[in-house]
Amino acid sequence: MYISTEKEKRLQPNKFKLGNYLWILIPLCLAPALSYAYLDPGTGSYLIQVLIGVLLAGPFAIKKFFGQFTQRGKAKKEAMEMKKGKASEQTNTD
Amino acid sequence: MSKQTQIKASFRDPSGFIFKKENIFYRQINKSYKKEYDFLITSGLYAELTKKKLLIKHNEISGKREPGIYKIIKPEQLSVITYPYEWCFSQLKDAALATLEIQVIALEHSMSLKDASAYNIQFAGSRPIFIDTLSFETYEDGQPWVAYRQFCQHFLAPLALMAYEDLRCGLLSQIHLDGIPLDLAAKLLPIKTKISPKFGPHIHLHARSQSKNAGKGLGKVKNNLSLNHQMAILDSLKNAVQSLNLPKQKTVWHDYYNNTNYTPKATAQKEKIIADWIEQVKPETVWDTGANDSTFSQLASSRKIPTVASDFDYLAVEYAYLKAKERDDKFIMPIIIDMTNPSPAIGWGNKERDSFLSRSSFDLTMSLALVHHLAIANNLPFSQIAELFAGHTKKLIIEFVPKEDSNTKRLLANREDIFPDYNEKSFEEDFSQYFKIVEKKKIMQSYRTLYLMERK
Repeated sequence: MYISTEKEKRLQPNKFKLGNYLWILIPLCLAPALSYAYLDPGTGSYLIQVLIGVLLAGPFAIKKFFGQFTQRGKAKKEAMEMKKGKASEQTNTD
Repeated sequence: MSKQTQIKASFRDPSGFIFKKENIFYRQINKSYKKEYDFLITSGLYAELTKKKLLIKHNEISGKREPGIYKIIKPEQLSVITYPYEWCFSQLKDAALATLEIQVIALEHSMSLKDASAYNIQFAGSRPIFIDTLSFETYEDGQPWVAYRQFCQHFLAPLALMAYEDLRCGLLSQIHLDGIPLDLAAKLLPIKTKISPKFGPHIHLHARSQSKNAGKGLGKVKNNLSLNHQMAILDSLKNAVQSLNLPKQKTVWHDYYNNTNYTPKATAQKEKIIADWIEQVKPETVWDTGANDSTFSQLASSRKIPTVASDFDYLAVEYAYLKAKERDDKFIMPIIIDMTNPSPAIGWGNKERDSFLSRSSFDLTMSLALVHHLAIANNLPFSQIAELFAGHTKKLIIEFVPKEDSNTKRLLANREDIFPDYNEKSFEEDFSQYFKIVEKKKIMQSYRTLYLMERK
């Protein structure tokens, strides 16, 4: 078969989960309709960055905090596996 | 003294520009960029990015400088220059992720990308690499990412459109030189992306904020985004890009090599003939036109010959790229090119981004099982096809597929046969106007013939 299982996975359409989207609904509803006075997109981009930065800072800090443990756990696991690998290599040489 | 030509792609940057001398690309760094360039080197950012193969390496060229010039650098030379609208979905996605990674590393070294143009990325084989050494500026505390808008327009918007709507939306970047305007992307994307935490803020709210605040000053907001907040935005952009997958979309050609009319023996013989001719010609560059999933291009790239594998089918190029990535092929460059309508020159004076054909000159071109599509499906006379190839290649491997072949029969099934001259004799005569036929071999268990030709 031409398409591998892994490729088929990649070809899956993006899944929609309503729960993930509710938080952004309110500011979008309140935002004004589009106007076409397209003079300086820089200002809007700066302002939206500040807003998004404030909204995402909390979740990002939590993600980073727990990420540390996951990374430590991963590093420990890798070190253990390396040790095991070395030990088995030694046994084989003996 | 040899002449130097300024490359039109870099004329907007006051920090310096690219020029070509004796067929080699150099970059001039102006004195106005001295502080930033020195900091790029002394901060260790250049060393880290080049070590991670994210930034192109360069050598400083010594010699006397005119006033206003700080340095001349010679970057590693790339065998081919490609543009974002010629990339498949995964190439654009990898280029986006590389840009974000570079920005995170730059911030860790107190620098920041001052632009995030997709044109600053090129591919060294199947790896994206940042080529604009002058894109870094010193980071000031609280400074928002000045290239945020550009990143959304050049990467996030086209990727989202390709994933949610259609892969062909990637071509919108060809019309919009500075990326897809966010208000346009917002209109085209499905409603669900409006309330998506990944795309709602970066595309929809962003577009609204642009139109609402157009022309207004920044006031106190200017330096009001902490480093942590910027890192959070970059992480969110990365999640958004990573979450995008290819849409479930079937194209005509993506499964071509599972549905050919060749027998295994014929395929093996065809591969052997082409491999032998590549060995004989010893080209330094190869262009495989209508390469599909790059099965035959790999006969050149596996011999460490830089090879452009072009096809107009998005999924075939996607598949070729993902396979090249898997085997870490440094010599193949799969790109989307429609032979009947290759990328035009665009930008200021139509000179900012070159057309595909003006960027392309090859030692060897391979045109396998393509001529019947050009001649019959697109009504192109043999002489026109031969003329185009002669303008861009020294040697040509071309496969003639006669009317007796089942694939050609399929092309003629629902139309009147207005091609009385579509035969081997006319093919040879017309190509002989531009090429000398060096060798000709029949493919066993088929009606097809392979030719090796040399430009006259």
